[in-house]
Formats: sequence, C-alpha cells, structure tokens
Amino acid sequence: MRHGLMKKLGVVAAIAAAGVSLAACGSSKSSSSSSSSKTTTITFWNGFTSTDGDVLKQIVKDYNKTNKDHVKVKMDIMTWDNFNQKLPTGITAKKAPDFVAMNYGDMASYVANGTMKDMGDFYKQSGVDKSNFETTARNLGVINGKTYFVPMQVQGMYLYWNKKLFKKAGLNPNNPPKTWAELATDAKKISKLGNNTQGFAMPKDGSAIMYNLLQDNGAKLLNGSEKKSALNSAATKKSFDYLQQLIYKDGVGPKNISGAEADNLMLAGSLGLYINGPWLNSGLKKNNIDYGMSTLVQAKQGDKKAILDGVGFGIPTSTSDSKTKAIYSFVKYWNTTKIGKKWSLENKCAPYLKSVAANKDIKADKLVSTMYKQIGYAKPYYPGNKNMSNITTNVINPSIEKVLAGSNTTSTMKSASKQIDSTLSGN
Amino acid sequence: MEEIDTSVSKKRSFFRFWNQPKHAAYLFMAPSIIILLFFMVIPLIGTLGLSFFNINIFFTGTKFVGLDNFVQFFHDQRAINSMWHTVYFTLLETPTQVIVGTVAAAALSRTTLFNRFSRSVFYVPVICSLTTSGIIFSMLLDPNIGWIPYVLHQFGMSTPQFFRDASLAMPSIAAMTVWKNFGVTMTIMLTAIQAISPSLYESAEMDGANKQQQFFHVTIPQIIPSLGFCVMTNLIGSMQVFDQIYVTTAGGPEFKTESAVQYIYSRGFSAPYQLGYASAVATILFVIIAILSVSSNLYMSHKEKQMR
Repeated sequence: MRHGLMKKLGVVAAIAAAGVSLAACGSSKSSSSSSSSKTTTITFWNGFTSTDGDVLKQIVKDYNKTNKDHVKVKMDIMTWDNFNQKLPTGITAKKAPDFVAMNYGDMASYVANGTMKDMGDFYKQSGVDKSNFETTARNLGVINGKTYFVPMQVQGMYLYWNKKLFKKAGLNPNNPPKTWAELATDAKKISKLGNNTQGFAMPKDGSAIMYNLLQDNGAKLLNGSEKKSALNSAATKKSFDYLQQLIYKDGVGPKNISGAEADNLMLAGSLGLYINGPWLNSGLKKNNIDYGMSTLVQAKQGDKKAILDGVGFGIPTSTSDSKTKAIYSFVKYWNTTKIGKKWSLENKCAPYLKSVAANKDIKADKLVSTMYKQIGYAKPYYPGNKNMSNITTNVINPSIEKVLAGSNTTSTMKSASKQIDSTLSGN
Repeated sequence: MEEIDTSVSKKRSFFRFWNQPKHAAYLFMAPSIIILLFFMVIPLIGTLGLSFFNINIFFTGTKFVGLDNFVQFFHDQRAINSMWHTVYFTLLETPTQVIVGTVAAAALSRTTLFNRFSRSVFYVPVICSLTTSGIIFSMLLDPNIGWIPYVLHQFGMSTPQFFRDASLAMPSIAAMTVWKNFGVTMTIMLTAIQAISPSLYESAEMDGANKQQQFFHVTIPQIIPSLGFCVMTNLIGSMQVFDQIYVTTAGGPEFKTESAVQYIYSRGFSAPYQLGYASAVATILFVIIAILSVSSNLYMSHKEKQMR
C-alpha cells in the first residue's frame, strides 16, 4: 500500500495529468510513424484479442506485403476495456492512432465531441461498390446523415446450447428453444441435473441480452424523440419479472455472474443455454464442446426481432488527409470478397457484403448462414445516440444486477427510468 | 590571462558554495522535489482548477461552473456511497493490517533461521502486483471454479459467494489487501522492535512482567513512532483503494464495493467522461485524506509524548 502511495494518488494526478499532457503536446503532430521515402505508415488500434486477433494479424500482414499503394499498417491490439480507456486520453493528448476499429455503440459519443472524421467519401473511392454493402450494415456508421465509420464486422446475439446436457436432461439436442418461454422450461430441466450444472446464465452486465428481451416484449428504452425514457412500461416489467423468476426464484443459473464468468461456464461444458455473440464459437470448438447455435429466441414463435451490432473503421480528426487516403486503401482491401469471406469463415461472423453472402462456401457453412439469416432482420438499437454507452453502463447493467438479486422489479424499473431521464437531460 | 583567472575563480566559488552541507542538501533533494512538483503538485493544482469547469475528457464544450460540481456531489447518492464504502474499507483494512503486521513482527523478532524464512515468505505477496493478487483471489474464491469453495464443499460446508455477496465482498477485499500488504508493516515494525534495548525487557522481567505485559508496556510504547507512521500511510493508501476492487468486483455487487477513486475513474474516464465533476470529487477526497492524515499524525504525536 505504502509504495503505491505516489502512484495511487493516481486518479487525482491522472485527471490533471491529462491536462498537463494536453498542454505539453498541444502543438505536436500525430505520433504515428511516417514513411521512409514513399511508404506511408498508419497506426491502427482495435480490441480483437481472441483468436479473431490472429486472423486479423494475418490479414494485415498480407496487406502490408501485397498492397501497391505503399501503405504499411502498424497494428496495436489491446483489450476493449483498455481500448476504451486509452482512446479518449489519446485523442485529447494528440496521441491517437491514425484509425481504429470500434463498436458502433461507442462511436456516437466520440462523434458528438467532434473527434471523428466524416468518412462519407470512402464510398466514392474508385473500386468501392457502395451497393455491395448491406444497407443496415452501412447505416450502422451513419450519425446525423454523415458516415463516421465503415463496417468491419456485423454481429448479433445468438442462442447457444450444450447438446450433451440437452441429452442428459432428456431434451432433443437438435431442437433448441424458439421462444423465451421454451428457454425457461428447458433451462429448468437442465439445472436439475445437479453437479454444478447451470441451466441458463444471465450475466449481470448482460445489457445486450436485456435489450433483445425488452425489444422482443415490445418494451422501449427511449421515446420517439429519444429525449425521455420510455422504460417505465408493462412490457419492461414483464421482461424484468421473467429474468427474476428464471434466475432468482427458480435458480436455473448463477445470480451474480459477469459475462466473462458466464463464458467460462459455457466453455467448461457446465452451462446448458446461453446467449452471446459469434466470438464464443472459437472457444467452444477449441474445448470440444458438443454445442449448437441458432438465431435468437423470440417472444412468440414466428417473430423476427433482433438487435444488430457491429464494429467499424473510424478515423480520429487528428489524422492527416494523406494518411486518410492510405487508410481508405486498407479499408477497401478489407471490404473485398476475398477478405470478407476469410473473416466470416474463420471467425464465424455473418457477412455484410452481398458478394460474400452469395459465395457458395459461406452458404455451405451452417453457423455463418444461420447468423446471416438473423442479420437479415436485425436492426440497430438507438443508433447514433451518444447517451447509450452511459445508459448501458450506469443504468441498465446495475438494474440487471438488482433484478437478478431479487430487488422489487417495479421500483427497479422506475428508478432506472428516472436515471435515464436524468442522463438525457445532462445531469 | 586575467579573464581566465576570473572564470576559474568563479567556478571555484560555485563548487565551494554547493559543497557546503546546507547547500548540498538542496542538490540531493532536487530530484525528489522536481518529481513531486511535476507528478504531484502541478497535477493537484490542475485537478483543483478543472473542478470548477464543466469539461469532458476531449476538452470540448468547456464552461466555467464555479462550485456547481461540488454542489452536485452532495446530491449524488452514488458518489456519497462510494465515500462511505471507502471509509468502510479503511476501517476494516488499516487496523487489521497494523495489528497483523505488528504481531507478526513481534513473533518473528528473534533472529532464527525459521523466523528469517518466515519473514521472507510473508514478504513475498508485497512484491506481487495488486492486480495479479486480485486475479488469483478471484479464481481461488470463485464459487464455480474456485479451489477454496471446492474444499469447503468437500467438507459439507456451504459455498460462500465471497466477491458476489454484498455483505461479504468488502471484507473479502480487505482481507486480500491485508494478506498482500502486511509484509511491509511487519518489516517496519520489525526494525522498530529490534531497535529496542534488551535491557528494558530484562528490567521488566526482573519486575515480574510476563511476555504479554512486556509486549504492551515495553514494546508498544517504544514503537509508537513507527506505529504512527504505519497507521498514517495505511490510512492514506486505504482511502485510495482502487486496483483490487477494480479487478475483483469492479465495484459490485450493486455498487456496494465501489470506492471513491473507482467512482472518480468511472466518471472521468468512461462515458460520459465528466472530467470536471470527477476532479471535484477527487478534490473532496483529497481534503478528506488530508484531514484524516493530519488528525492521525497529531493523535500519534500526542500518544508518543504521553508514553514518554
């Protein structure tokens, strides 16, 4: 404790240090190393730390070797947590990378602060076919009519189930639940297997699952103008009650578990049903788990509702025009059928380029084609709203935790609604 | 020729000036003073300055708001709770660490092979980072995959949700911190105990004092200055608790372990990036720590005088 003393005055110092660094670096140019003779080096930050990072590294390596635009991409991969901590201070201290890959939900607050470039002219570059992009995927990066990011990956939440546990519980391993009600029934049966087996896990930071559940039940987070909360509704109460019944009352899964811990349970083969993004596939395969993946469960059979999420390329305003041109060269390379296919097949991601979706290998891949099916009807959730990240972290996730811990759902909902109003009013 | 003489004599007088002990002392202090100035004093002044502004981390839309950020603190239940959680942690951690460290020092004060080995073992956690320790404890205590819950389960005991139960989480973090840091307190107290003259113990023994009486009436009064130092530095450190909470519970469950520094961090360095408000809370925390440090220092000095 003692020798942490100086360092630990930490946040106090760090907050002001941001100011000091700003003053110190006020006139400096972007830190990215630039060229020898004709090569333009562009720095690239992202959070693909898993097996997807290996695929990304290979793609960047191939691009650096083969591109004829004399561009070299220097990539820095860090955890998304780290990324979200480093980027704002990097931008303030003029130490931002030349371009980044970031989640569309986080992009809005950067755009609102004028720190991201309009990339609309990317689609006007020669060799870029705007019509080849799925419109929903392209629109993920549009805020107030301007394009702030170009898609790199689209994703959604999917249903995963452990086939071995399904068999043990007397369920048909080839017939996953189609509705939230069926999911509850199946989860209860699996949780009765004992030996620390869990039926379903709802992470306390599982806002992505919660938003899908709310949407399926017809609940809205914000009103039409997105200036007031619309959370206080019977549909929200129904969603909160459903989760509380499942986890707190019926005890089909752990009460206070993070997303990472829930992932571990699924990867260890002791979780029957789980909802997560496509990144879970690689771990499940690596651990030889006999599992299935399908489109997300719905409120009623036949419904087709899901939230579309995605990661895209963005360029901080500090990046020079010449580097922007070099970045466009890489982004163009990324959005070719060859790379799109490689990324989709190796990482099990839904394609967003029509030419990739039409490819026979993509169509033959069961997982990828299932995901693509969902991408077809999925819609982004309050795209471009700069408050979403704040609402998710400071209102929705704590509310999920309260619901799972058995707090009164009505008061939790009302309190969350008030907090959202307070956030939207800027207090 | 005359010019060279003047320059040589100037150089000589320069070296003569800085060679005097009272002047040389400043040279030795200079590196520390410069580091303190740039990494402590200037940022502290910067923090105070930022707290009067409505400013985000991107330094856009900056507006002078006077004392509004300080007023906001008193209406922000989560901020106030985070202060209480910090005080709770400090009350759990500081006395426990000082007591454990002092008792361990007293028990291991004689220089034997076993004691020397034990001292080294107890000091090992100090050299690990708090983050690493936090990760190790998270895994050890995890109700699903943790070794400790597994052992308890084998003995037919129920599995406590150490970091997930609102009432257990903070004591668990405090216990982990004591385990991690008591080696430092032990080392300081050990030095103080070993400096006590053996004649004092001989006299006490001749007066019929048993080991316990010797500890309370000879050892403790003699180590009061070191004890005071340990209490004060632990107090300051505990009030700034961050890493271990960030790694183990991230402030949960339901913000029940969110410390003041963690709240400052989340306000300033994640959406909505309210740097001005975070600076105001940091300033309030700084004032609280300053008051606590000065009070504890005055109290220990008073105690020291009383003991003499």
